[in-house]
Amino acid sequence: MSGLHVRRRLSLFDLTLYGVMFLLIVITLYPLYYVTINSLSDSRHVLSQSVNLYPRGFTLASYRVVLADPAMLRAYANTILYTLVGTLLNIVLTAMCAYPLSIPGFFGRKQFTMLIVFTMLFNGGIIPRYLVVRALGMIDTLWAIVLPVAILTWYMFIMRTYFRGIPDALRESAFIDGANDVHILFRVILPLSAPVIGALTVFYTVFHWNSFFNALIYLNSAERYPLQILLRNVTIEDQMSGYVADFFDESDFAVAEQTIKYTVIMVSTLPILTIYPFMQKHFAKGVTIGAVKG
Amino acid sequence: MKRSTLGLVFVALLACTPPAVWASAAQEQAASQMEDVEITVMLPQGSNIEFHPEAASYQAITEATGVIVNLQPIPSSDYGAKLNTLIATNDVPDVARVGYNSYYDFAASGVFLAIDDLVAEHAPNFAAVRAVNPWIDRLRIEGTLYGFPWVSRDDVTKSPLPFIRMDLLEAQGLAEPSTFAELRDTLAALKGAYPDTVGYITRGPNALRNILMYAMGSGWSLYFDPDVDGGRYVYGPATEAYRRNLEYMAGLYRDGLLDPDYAVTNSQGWQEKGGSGKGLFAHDNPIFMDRMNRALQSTMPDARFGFISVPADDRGNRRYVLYDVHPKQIWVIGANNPHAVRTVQMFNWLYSDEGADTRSLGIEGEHWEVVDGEKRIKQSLIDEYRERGDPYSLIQSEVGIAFSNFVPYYDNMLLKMTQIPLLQEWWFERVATDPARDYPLIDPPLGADERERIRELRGTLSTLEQESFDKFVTGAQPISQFDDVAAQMRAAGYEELEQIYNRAHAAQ
Repeated sequence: MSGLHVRRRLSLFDLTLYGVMFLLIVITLYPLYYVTINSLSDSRHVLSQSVNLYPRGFTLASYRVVLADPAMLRAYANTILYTLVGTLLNIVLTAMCAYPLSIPGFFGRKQFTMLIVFTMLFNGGIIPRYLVVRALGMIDTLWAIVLPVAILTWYMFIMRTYFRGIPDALRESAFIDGANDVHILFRVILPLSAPVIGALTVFYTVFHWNSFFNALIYLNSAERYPLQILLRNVTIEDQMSGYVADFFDESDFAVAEQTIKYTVIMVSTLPILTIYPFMQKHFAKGVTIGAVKG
Repeated sequence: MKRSTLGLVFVALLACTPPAVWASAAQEQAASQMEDVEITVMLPQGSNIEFHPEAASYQAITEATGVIVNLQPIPSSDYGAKLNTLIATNDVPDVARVGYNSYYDFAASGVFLAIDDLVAEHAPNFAAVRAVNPWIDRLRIEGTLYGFPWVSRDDVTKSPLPFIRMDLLEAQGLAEPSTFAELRDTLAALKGAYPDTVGYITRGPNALRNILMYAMGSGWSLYFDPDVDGGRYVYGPATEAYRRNLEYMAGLYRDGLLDPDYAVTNSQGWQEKGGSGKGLFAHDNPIFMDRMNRALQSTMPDARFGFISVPADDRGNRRYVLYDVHPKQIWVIGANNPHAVRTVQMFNWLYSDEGADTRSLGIEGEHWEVVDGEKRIKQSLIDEYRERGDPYSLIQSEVGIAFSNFVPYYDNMLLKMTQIPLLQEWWFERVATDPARDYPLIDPPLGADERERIRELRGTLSTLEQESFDKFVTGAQPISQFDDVAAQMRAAGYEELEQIYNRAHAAQ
């Protein structure tokens, strides 16, 4: 009987399910598709709302304009830098925070955990954070972007829960063999934690790629702006040009051509869209990885 | 040798020192006082503007004043958030551009430097500009000025303009409407001939509230009406004229002549409706007409929007408000600025003719020239940039001049010379001589208590205004209930709001 392919008959329920899922896929993907085809179309067709199913007046002119913009290239480089440095720092520091909290006998474990939980529920807001960052001399530096978000508590708890699932016997045997806590963490625990590291790497990467608010508040030099600040300025500027009858809004002149907006969106999101399918299994696993112990 | 002898020799040598040495010492001291200093200037940056502080027009500031300007551009979409954070943390840069609202809210708190004394001693050019622009004194807070307002040195008449599908009017043999009643009938006729169109398109409800309402003889929220009692502040939504205008707009909506999405649409949606042929008429910033025409003509080569005069209301009166001649922005000096005197001296140069020429027009001979007694940007420069794209944005970016840059005292020559000829004709010739134009008024100075009270009153009134407007226009609430809503507004205190403003206005 090996090799016999059993064809399962599709029931009405299956067909309905596939239909609904297909509809959901179209609803989810169509906006992305719409942005793509409009970014590849002539601006006159875009403004006349005639680009709906396929590009019209196919042109890469917008991409040439956007990718030739030194500000865009600079922002790209900044975003990659912040993402790489930030994610590396996140993983290392998150692991260093999660590991001691996962050891049952760690003195003050509950108290430290409560303190950390407290920060999940309450925080001082923008002003105190800004004052702290300024007092530490980090304004307008890379560290203002990566240090205030060095550990996201939710992800730290995910990692802690995963660590607690690793048998204590492994840690104890390493301890008997003469390893200290640092050795145990980096040579025993982390090598066994590839799934959670992979998942949190995806989460942190997306977080850094999409973040703009810290950059807006803490950075003063345009040369250090990440991609999302440019993207936000291009796409919502005309919405922010709040019209009042007696104020000539100069930002009306700054409203970018529609195709430029769509192109900036594509350029900004394409890297994440590209790597997401490869990291999808980690993303899906990461949603539950910290939920079940053992 | 005895000490006394040595002392006498020393004094003798000193007395023989040439005066030039002493003079050079004084000069050295003066020179150290005039050493270049660096200041940071924070300003919003539009998405199509790239600042070039190395441009000659910026370097001219340093050459003239010894102040090196370090620009700190902040994306205009989030400028308010950044500014508010810096104000709240008392970390305002050396110079920052703030809107009137932020200026009034924070100036007296000490984050901005009071400039009167410094102006009296170091900025006679600004004092001269202030003398011919008395409205600047309306910016005083309890008698003190806390910044250098943005001042236009030419009277440029920019305004929202109505534009309509001329090709469709011609195809249907219709005349350009000259009254709002004719506009309604014209839109109805066009809608009948072209049922797929949406008629009057806007980029949001504000275009109806601010532009249309005023042109039809009333006004939105609290506004200054020059035609009431010789000119006073009026709370529009409680007036009979406002009610009549609501009936008009509700009629347009009911008959399908007003974009049904007017309350939720935005600039992008508006441009797309205009550019796709669905929109027949708009009354807004006319720079968008050209964009819509280009989009229209990609699919319909003969289609075009064209300007018409602002229609007359039912009493035969025409009126419209110009855009601000002097934008409501102020260049403030941060209280922590270590070079306040040099900064004020820099502003003094910027308010001089030389400074204004350099920052608005560029370098004479290189960027501008005198033609028939008028200072004009070189046409060759404009043509050169036009080949690359939008000359207005490109020249501002690469030459570092005009509106989007650090230019407290500016003129609009670049704007004038880079607009399409039709807009140049309408804005700078027709509107400039149209008696129906009204100039916007700067609000009178108000005390801290008054501002607090206004904030409380406006909080309740604005909710009533916005909700009732949309309900009446869409028909969700019948116009017959207008008096009930007006009574609610009276109970919310609009009369007190009027009194506060009119009292302050009368005190000027």
